[in-house]
Order: sequence, then structure tokens, then C-alpha cells
Amino acid sequence: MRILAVDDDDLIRELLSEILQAHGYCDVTMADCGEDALRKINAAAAPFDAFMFDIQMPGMDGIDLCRRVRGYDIYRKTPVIMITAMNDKEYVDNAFRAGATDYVTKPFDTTELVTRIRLAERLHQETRRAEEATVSVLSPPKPPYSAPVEIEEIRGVVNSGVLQNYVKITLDQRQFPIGAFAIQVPELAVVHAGSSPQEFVYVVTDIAEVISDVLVGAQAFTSYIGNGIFICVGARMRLPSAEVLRDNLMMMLNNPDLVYCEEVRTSFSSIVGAPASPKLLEKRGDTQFLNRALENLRTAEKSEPPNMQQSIGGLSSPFAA
Amino acid sequence: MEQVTDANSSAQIETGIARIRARFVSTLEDRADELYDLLDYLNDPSVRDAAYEQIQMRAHKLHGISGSLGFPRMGEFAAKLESTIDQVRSSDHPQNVQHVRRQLDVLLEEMEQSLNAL
Repeated sequence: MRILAVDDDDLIRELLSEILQAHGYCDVTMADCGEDALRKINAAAAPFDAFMFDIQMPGMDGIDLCRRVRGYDIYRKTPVIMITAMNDKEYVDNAFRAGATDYVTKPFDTTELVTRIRLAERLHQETRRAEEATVSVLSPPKPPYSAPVEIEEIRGVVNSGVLQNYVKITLDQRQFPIGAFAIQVPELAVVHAGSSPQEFVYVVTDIAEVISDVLVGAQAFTSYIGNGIFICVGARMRLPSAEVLRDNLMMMLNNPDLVYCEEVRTSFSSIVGAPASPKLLEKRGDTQFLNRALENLRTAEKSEPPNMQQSIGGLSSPFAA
Repeated sequence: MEQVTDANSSAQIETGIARIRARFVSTLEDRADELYDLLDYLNDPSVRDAAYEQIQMRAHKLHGISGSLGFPRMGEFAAKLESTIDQVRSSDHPQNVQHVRRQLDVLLEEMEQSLNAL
């Protein structure tokens, strides 16, 4: 795996190189600032497979660098691990919003660092396999309704893996109390059944954008996890109540300028579960509260008319502890 | 087989870290001198903000590297200094300079003790 690691401290670069090489990652290029990194990216004979960016650097910082790297078409999905000191709190949100997929903290814990690199390697391999499959099959089969959808370029909307990485670092840093809730848009089942895969992605993306707009100010991140369900994580004190959220969503989801489905005529509604939060005695980094948010959605769903109820059984506990 | 590989990795990392640690230690005296010099600038309001910035940048670097190389207390004190500067730069309280000075003194003391202990 070809890695580009960027840090302005030469001792950190040397340390990273040492740890990576000892674990079999020998194709590592080092850059000492954001500008140097871009020069090396532009001059690379073959694309890099993963990036590691220090957040706080003089000149172009790691967040700006991440944003710029995401602007390259070939690096839209490449794993980007941010290197953060434990008191870089305010930068972490911005890093994830700029497209970071994961993080490691300084001082380095070697085991943790290697785990993160291995996760990045797996993500890179999965992305490559998916791209190869798309190229080799002219008409790929329609993904099932239960499958997540990759949503791109909506502020604060990330895939489920990135959402969990964000939750872990926020819990690690004890930055602020966080909460999560799940939203289901039941009519997405009808849209999925009656539209092309591309149209379905468009509609899910529109809905994700509406949710992101409704949650603006809550420092929230949202992920679509399949079965018409979105899971949202944000600062607990800033999250709106389920009722307020539902009222706002009702108006916005039925504004055709915001959510439009050409192939299936339908109105949209939402079921919003009660918020769930990490418990005091849970291990740091435990993401079980995301599963509780889904349980709360199931409870809210039971109070809906029968035609609104759908099975979310396959997604009952998708988040690992 | 995997265990042998893990043992080899650990040995390789330990050797590497020992080398980097020695290099870090050799820079400690210079780092402390630079911080002492910056301490003087804190008395001059016309350059105070620039001095804060320079001290914070050095503390940030120390925080990142010292904990990774077996100097966790130095890392903690550097982190504390870094966040103290963040706090004082957002207000004009007259005690700010003294507060930063105290934190910086604690860090410098720790750096000296680390050097003496080697």
C-alpha cells in the first residue's frame, strides 16, 4: 500500500516511518507541510492508496489539505487518517467535514496506529473491488433496500464507518456530551421498488441534505444505513426534540424543490426515534448507544399506523461495541 | 509464525524509537533555551501576541512527540501550556501573562529534570 504521511515535525515523520515499516508498510512517502504534500501528489508516478495528515501545521493545515485532496477525482474515496493531538478538539469536526475517514492521536499508541492503517488498507481494498466490479458488469444488480447508499458532497453526511470513527474520537476526547437518534422515511421503500438505482440515490441524497439542513447548528453528522433509515449524531444539548424535528422534516421533505422523485410519485413522512446517549458506565469509545437509537426508532414506529411500519430487524444492532 | 513477525516488529520499533528518542533528547536543551527566550518577550505588549504564538507552536510540537517517546509528563505539561495560551488569548485579563509564565515554568522544570535524569 502506498502511503503519503504529512507532518511538520521531523521526529514525528521519522517515528511514523519506523512504525509503518516495522509492520510491512514500506512504500511510505513523507511530506513536511501541506504544500509539499500537494507537490508530491502531483508528481507521483502512481496514485497513493492512503493518506495521513497532521491537522495543525504552519501554512496549509491538514484540514485544508484534506479538502484539496478530495478535489482530485482519483482521491475522492481514498482513506485519509488525520493525526491529531488530544487537544485538537475543535479541529476534529472540521476534519471529518473536509472528508477525513479516520484519525490517530498523538502521543502515538503503536497498536492503535497500526490498527488504523490496517482499517485504511481494508477500506482501500473494498473501494478498489467495488470499482472493478462496476467496470466489469455493464448493468450491476440493483442493491437491496437494506443496503447503505454512499452519499457524496453533502455537508455533515458520511458513511457509517466514518460516523463510527467520529463518534469514537468525540468520546475519547470527552469533547462534549453527544447524542444520537434515528430517522426513518418509510416512503423510501416505495421509491426503491419503483425507481432505478440512480434515482433512488438521488432521492436519498435529497433527503440527507434536508436532514443536514434541519440539524444545522447541532454539529451533527448523518449517515444513511439502509432500510430508509438515517442515523444522526450531534452535540446532545443542541439536538432538536423528536417532535420539532419531525415537524420540520414534514414541511421540507414535501417541498419538491428540496426532495424530488421523478419516477415515483409520493409524498414523504418521517418517524423519529427518541435520542440515545452514551451511558456513564459504558467503555469509552463504545458505540452501543447508536444501536439504542435504532431501538428507540423501533419503539416510535410501533405507535405509527400499520401501513407506516416496516421491519428494521436486519439493522437491529449494526454498530459494534 | 505471526508471533515471530510481531516480535521482529516490536524489536525493530524499539530500536528505532531508542534512536529517535536520543535525537529528541539532544534537542531538549535548545528547545528549553528557545522557550526561555520567548518568556522574556511576554513582558513586552507589542510582541506578546507573537510570543504566545511561538510558545504555543513549540508546546504543540513537544506535546505530540514527547509522549510518544516516553516522556508523558512533559507531554501533559506541554498540552496544558498549549491550552492555557488558547484561553488567555481570548481575554485581556491582567493575570494572563503570569498564568502562562507559571505553566511555562512547570514545563521547563520538567524538561530540565528529564535531562538531568538521563
